[in-house]
Amino acid sequence: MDLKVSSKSQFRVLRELILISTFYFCGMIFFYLKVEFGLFKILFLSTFVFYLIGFFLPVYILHANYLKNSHNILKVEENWADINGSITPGNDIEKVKIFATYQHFDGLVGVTALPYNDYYYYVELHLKEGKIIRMTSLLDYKLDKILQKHFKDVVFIEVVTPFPMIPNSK
Amino acid sequence: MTRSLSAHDIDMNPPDKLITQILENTPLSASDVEKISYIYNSANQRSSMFYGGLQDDKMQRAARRHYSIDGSMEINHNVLTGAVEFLTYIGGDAYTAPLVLKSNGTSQEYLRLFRDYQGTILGIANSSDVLLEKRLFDAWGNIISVTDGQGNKMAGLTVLDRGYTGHEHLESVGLIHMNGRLYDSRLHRFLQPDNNIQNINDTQNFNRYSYVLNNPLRYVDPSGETSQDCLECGGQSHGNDFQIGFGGSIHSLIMNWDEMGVKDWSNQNWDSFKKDWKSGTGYMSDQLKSANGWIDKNLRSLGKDLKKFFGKSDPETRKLSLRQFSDFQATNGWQNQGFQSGCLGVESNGQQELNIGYKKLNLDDLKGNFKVGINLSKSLEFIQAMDQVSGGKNKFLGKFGKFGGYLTSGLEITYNGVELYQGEISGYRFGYRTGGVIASFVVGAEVGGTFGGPYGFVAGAIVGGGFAVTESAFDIWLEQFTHSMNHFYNNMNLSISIYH
Repeated sequence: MDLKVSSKSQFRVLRELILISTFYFCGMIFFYLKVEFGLFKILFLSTFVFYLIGFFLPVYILHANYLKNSHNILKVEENWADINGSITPGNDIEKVKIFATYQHFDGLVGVTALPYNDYYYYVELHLKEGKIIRMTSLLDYKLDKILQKHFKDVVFIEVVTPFPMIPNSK
Repeated sequence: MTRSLSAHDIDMNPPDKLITQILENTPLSASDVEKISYIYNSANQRSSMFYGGLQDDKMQRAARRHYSIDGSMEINHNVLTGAVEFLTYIGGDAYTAPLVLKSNGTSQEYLRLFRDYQGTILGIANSSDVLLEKRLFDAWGNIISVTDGQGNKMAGLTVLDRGYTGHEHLESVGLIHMNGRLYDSRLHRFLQPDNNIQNINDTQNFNRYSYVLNNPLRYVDPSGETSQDCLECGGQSHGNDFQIGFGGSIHSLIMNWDEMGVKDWSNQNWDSFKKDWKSGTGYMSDQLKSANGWIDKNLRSLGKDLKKFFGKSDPETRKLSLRQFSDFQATNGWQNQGFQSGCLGVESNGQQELNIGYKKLNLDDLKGNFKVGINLSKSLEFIQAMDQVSGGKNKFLGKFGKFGGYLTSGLEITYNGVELYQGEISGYRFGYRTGGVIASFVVGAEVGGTFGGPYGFVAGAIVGGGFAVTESAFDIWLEQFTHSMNHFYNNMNLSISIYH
């Protein structure tokens, strides 16, 4: 199975933000047309701050972080993976850590979820030789399921984090 | 209704009654110059002023001024010559109006008033944009200079005797009438004591004669009784509450983007930052470097679009005011920031006036719809949270709950925005509530992301509830406490007076 960070894969993880943005800006256009300009300015600027802090910035930060740190291409088959031209058999993998929000593991999002909660997460492949390989959901938003399917004998550890940003790798 | 004054009146400190007493019967009377008397309407507001002479009988004095009850009009009448002058404030009252119609009954002219951030009238021009009078006041309201359009010195406020923070100057006796009390700008003191303690935590409030807590650059005193922070005063905000507080800061930033040097500042810092991280090896440098192109391109473009968008509103007066302001800057070389702020306020007033009559949504209906939306979305949130608490995993409900969460917060902000626009809440309160909504939302999301949705729901509700309870406490308890302190303080003063 070939996975790649492409426009399509990025669109999939961004879809909720795109949906919210569309809804929000359509609402603002409605207000622009239907209320006095002074009121529109209040509504737009105050809600824009909310939109920026609550929706746009968290997704943007994670997206930029993942773009920088993610492996762009991954080929994964039954019990082996080709990561950037290097074949890694399942036996060489000590464990796989999945860093995601509680809602991602729970399978439910609900009231308190932000647009990144569902789809933004990353995984760490801990090799027996001590090397750590990081991959993100930009490859595919079902990356964790795909890995679990192909590496049935490997231990998967779920790590709950409210904001799954990849730390400094240096 | 003509009032007769007594010692009792003085003790009780009635606002306008004292002027006669002070000017006619006390050492401060300046009786060699002029005597001024007032009569009052049933609402205890001054309705007429008698001046222009030294006669004891006010009816014998040459000049009268009559004030309308809503503050929108003044009539000057010279009983000797029969000359009458009508002043009508357009787009506000004497403290806020950007325009005055001056008429003598046969001819009339419009006067444009240019105010600073406190509402002080710094310039007056006619409808052809010819500068008639240019004034300069110090921070306490003393007149430093008055010149005409050519820069020739004038004897005093000539075209209009409204000046410092929009108040009426009684130049002959060197005082400013601030409605509730008389103010001496040379002493920096009121002539009568204050009956109110606005903030018991500020020792400046206990000086009963001081003007605006001795901080005239920040505060004004429109009533003569209570100082007011200049985020809510003068040309900056009257008639357009948007410019208050949180929203006003953003608006001012956008409107003054170039003038405030924000663009230059951001360019300089941005370039410097880019240079640093290009040469540096830090984590953030690496992180941001990857996104540099995107930010550089899109954020600048967004800033430009916003500026373009908000700088191009449709009402005609806005365009006129902008042009007029830039013409004034060009021809008179005025670079005064306060003057400029005043002009922006003037524009907004004009704009709101023109907006009247547009076929727009009814604001009360809009608020009603928002309220229904908030209740519905809160219900969705609650149902979904309860579903999760009870172990349910209904994805359909989950999506609805999520949508409800977004909608509740967004609608609460917009609902408060309409209240701000209608003048029902202040800019501070709007900023506070908006901050509360965002804090509740973000905390709820972070806790939910760590421990699960129901916990996030509870955490968000606690934060939101905390903000609401604090606001109620501020409204109810603090007001009661302040009133109690005022009563205590006034009774204490009364006791001391009786004892002595």
